[in-house]
Amino acid sequence: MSNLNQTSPARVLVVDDSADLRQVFCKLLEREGYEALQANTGAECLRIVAETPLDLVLLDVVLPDLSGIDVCKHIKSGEKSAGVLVLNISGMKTSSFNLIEGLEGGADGYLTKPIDHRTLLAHVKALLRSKRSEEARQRSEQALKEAHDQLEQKVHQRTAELIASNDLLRQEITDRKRIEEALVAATAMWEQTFNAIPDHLCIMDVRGVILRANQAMRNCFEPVHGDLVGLDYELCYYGTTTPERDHPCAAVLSHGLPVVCEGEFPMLEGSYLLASYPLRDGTGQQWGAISSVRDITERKRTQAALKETEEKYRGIFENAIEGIFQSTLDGRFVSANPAIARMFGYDSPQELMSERNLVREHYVNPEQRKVFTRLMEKNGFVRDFELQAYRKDRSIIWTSENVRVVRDEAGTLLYYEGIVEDITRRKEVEQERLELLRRLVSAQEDEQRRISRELHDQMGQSLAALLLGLKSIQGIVDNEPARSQVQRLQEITNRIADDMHSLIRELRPTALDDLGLHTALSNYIAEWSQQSNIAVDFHSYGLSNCRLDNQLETTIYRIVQEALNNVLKHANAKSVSVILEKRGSKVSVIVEDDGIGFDAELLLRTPGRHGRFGLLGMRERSMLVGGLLNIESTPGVGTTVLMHIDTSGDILEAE
Amino acid sequence: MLTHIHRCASPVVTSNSRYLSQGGHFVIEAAWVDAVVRIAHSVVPWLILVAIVRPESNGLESAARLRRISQFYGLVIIPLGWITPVGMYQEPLTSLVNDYVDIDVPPNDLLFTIDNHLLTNNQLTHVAFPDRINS
Repeated sequence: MSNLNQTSPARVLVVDDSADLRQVFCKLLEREGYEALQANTGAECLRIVAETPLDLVLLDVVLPDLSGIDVCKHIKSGEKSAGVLVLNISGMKTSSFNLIEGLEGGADGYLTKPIDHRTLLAHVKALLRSKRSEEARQRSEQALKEAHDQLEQKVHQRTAELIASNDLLRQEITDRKRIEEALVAATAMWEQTFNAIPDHLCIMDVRGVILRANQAMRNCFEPVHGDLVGLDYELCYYGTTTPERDHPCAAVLSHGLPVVCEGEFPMLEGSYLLASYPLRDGTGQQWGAISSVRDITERKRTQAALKETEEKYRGIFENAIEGIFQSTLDGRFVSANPAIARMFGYDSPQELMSERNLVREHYVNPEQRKVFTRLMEKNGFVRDFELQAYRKDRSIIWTSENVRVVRDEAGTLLYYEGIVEDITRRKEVEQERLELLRRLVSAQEDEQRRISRELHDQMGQSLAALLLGLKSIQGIVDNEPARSQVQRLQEITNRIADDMHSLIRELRPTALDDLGLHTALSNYIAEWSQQSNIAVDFHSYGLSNCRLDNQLETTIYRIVQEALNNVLKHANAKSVSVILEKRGSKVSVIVEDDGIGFDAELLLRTPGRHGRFGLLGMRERSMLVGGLLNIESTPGVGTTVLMHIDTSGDILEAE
Repeated sequence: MLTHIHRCASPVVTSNSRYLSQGGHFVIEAAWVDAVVRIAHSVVPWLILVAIVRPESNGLESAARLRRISQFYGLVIIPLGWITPVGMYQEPLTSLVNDYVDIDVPPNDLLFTIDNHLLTNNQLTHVAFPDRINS
């Protein structure tokens, strides 16, 4: 173990079995500033060497227990003591052989006694110096190695840092490239967007000099001015840099406030919308302005036309004879023209539209409102919807409405709007006409009844008497020609009687008055089927033991009669189905054939009595008793006549 | 190396050793001649100072004993005493010893004498003078 360093004195172990000599050597060494230890045997020397860091051992070759040579070898073979210097001294083993043996045994020096103390010191110093140098060299080497290792580590670290830095740099370059590409793309997109806008767009500095202009503006002004960049904004739009009055952009540039206004420019035709906004840098300092000029000439024109249209509409709305309105779905008036207000007896549309007034409260029959709502929900409109309505003074009028729903883009119901017509007079006329018709039909029926009765009572009796007379003559006459003549007369009389009975049935069957609709129809249908040779399937429900109103029974009988006549005349049918049904207060009549069918609506619209008179008559008869009659027919399929009557007086909805 | 042979508790004697050490010499003190002989077999002394008055033997006798040893032939031996021995500078003493120094000689004189003898004996290259000693 080495003790040698630059600050602590060298530690020398003096090994000699002579105490005096050990004293001398120790004193000598201590005088020179060394730290001296003593050992008198080889074993003690080795012990001290093992325990204590030493620099040099002054070792007597001849020791009492071990040879100094062996001790030296032991010292030099030790892992920690190999660096300890050994200077052999001997007074007895002084030959060259001993010298060689000692040096080859590992000793760093071999002195023979007697020795000059200076020589001894010189050897000690030289050896220690050498060791110091060696150790310094080793330290230097170690330091160098450490420095080298550190350097290498630093190099590695630095290399790693460089690699990481390089990677970062590469990544940064990649990112930068990507950003640049994105920037280029964004710039291109901005350019495209800037140039795609059809309005004039330009960016100017605080002096009003154009820095950038889009394609639309360039197309407009470059043919006149050339390149717009660097040109004064005023020159473009006013033709001069000193316009008569300040233009809006001047206000933006001087006050930094945005401007939006409509106006005209001396250098352009038409009207324009100008929007100009200040442009500021990061510190809030204004450096310029952006200006947008849009041609609104067409829009102005459209607005003017719209205004004109609106005024026309307003004129129509205000002055129309018919009532025009809009209402919410729950029946609140949203708008109303003066006509509808007058119709309902209000002083003004505003009074009509007040919250207290709800549309439904004007309905005389609330059920009609339900029908109206159902039709609106189903069809989206109603046409010629007639209803009775209360005026403000609770008097009743008849109105006819054409209403449609208004929806938004999503299809949601927003409100109703429509036209209302006061048809009170027309209804009165209609009622009068119906009344006249009713009276006419009634008179007609009465007359037919009377004629039928007279035929039955008088003619029938006369024919019966005639037949009896002829029968009695037949019994008296034995002349064959006369007998056959009588027989022929009987046949003629029977025929007359049959014809009369048919006529009576056609005019007014007595069973209708005496036995009721079910029986009368049964008889009629049976006879008709026999005569026409067309199978008829007749069903009656709910009327076997019940009678209806006389007029209603007559109407139903006549309608079935007319329907079957039409089948016979026009349908070319093989079979007919007649259903008569009464459920509660509702009576339904259905006559359906499998004939050739026809276009019912077309026929109804066709002028000429023969074409539509039968159908029209059926409808009118049905209307007289408050019923609804529908005729469904498709060419090639057949015809169905449907009639529905509510004997309770409830409104029937047309299908 | 100077060997100072004495077996005396006199403070003067011990102080002489100290003076000589301060003067730069390596001084070994020995109580017995045998010790000197033993030491001298290993480390050659340049000069031996021997106190004449000693309990067991005369210092001159010790000097004579030392002279008989071959390796001490050229050695400088200087006795120390209180009184100059008679015939000090005559034979046979002049062959036996190289000089005589009073035991209470001033340190610088002692050092001067020692250095002169060492110089003469080629043991020193120069002599340092009185200001070397701090007594």
